[in-house]
Amino acid sequence: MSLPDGEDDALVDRILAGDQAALRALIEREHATLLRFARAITRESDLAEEAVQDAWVRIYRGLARFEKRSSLRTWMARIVVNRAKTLVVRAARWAPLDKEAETHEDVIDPSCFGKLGFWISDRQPAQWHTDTPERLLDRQQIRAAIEARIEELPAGQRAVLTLRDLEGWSSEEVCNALEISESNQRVLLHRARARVRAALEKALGEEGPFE
Amino acid sequence: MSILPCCRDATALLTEDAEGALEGVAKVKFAVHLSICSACQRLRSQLRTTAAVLRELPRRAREPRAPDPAQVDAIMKLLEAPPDERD
Repeated sequence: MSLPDGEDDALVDRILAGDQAALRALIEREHATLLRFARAITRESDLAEEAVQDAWVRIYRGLARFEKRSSLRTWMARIVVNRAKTLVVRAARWAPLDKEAETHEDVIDPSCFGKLGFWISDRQPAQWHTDTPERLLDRQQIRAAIEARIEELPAGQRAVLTLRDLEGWSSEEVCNALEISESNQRVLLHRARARVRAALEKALGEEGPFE
Repeated sequence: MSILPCCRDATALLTEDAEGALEGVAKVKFAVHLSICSACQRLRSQLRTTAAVLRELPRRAREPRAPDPAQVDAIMKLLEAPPDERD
């Protein structure tokens, strides 16, 4: 999820030496990604924009203290995520993500299982005649269904799914940035993927099996 | 307590297993259930496909990766301002 260390290090050194072109290059390279991180937390574009703008100030001010213990992007993302959380808390819309993970949620419709907890024969997952993810995403309707479902996810699930699957973070990086436990991170990831799977299944059903 | 998890319980463990978080007896029971249950195998396969699709999604995003030059200018201006004006 990051560039080779040497490339980031050189960019940081140039910015610290006052190279405005290097600073501009960093903003051009990372702004859209940081905005997606913020949006995963805030769910609102305006609040996300504000969070990233505030974060850039903190990143710029704090760059001399960047110790290179993580990648530059991870370090910047933590600043963005923290700023986004602060803004959401200030707007009184923040619910701790651990709390979200600890509430009950049926990942699979309970009516799919019989009394003993085994699949009912006609409610079992169908065989997907899918090809590669690339070919699946070639279909606009499927891509739209997935994007719409991600938008609808509860805050914690959306944040974890965005960082883990869309941005390729490790579980450790996600837990640190979102301040959640490993087990709750897995719960949120499982629920989020299951919801997207359901959307994918529905879209496949509507479009017919892949040839 | 049953010897093997039922499908409802096994499906709840699919991501735990994918993330390498299952250990010991729980891991063995889960593996045995999966080895004999084609429906749970299909669900596992679908979740893997879903994760792969999600990893591919950013490459297809309609959203531009690079920000508007005016937006970059605004951020640059913000960063050039003295600290007391930034707050």
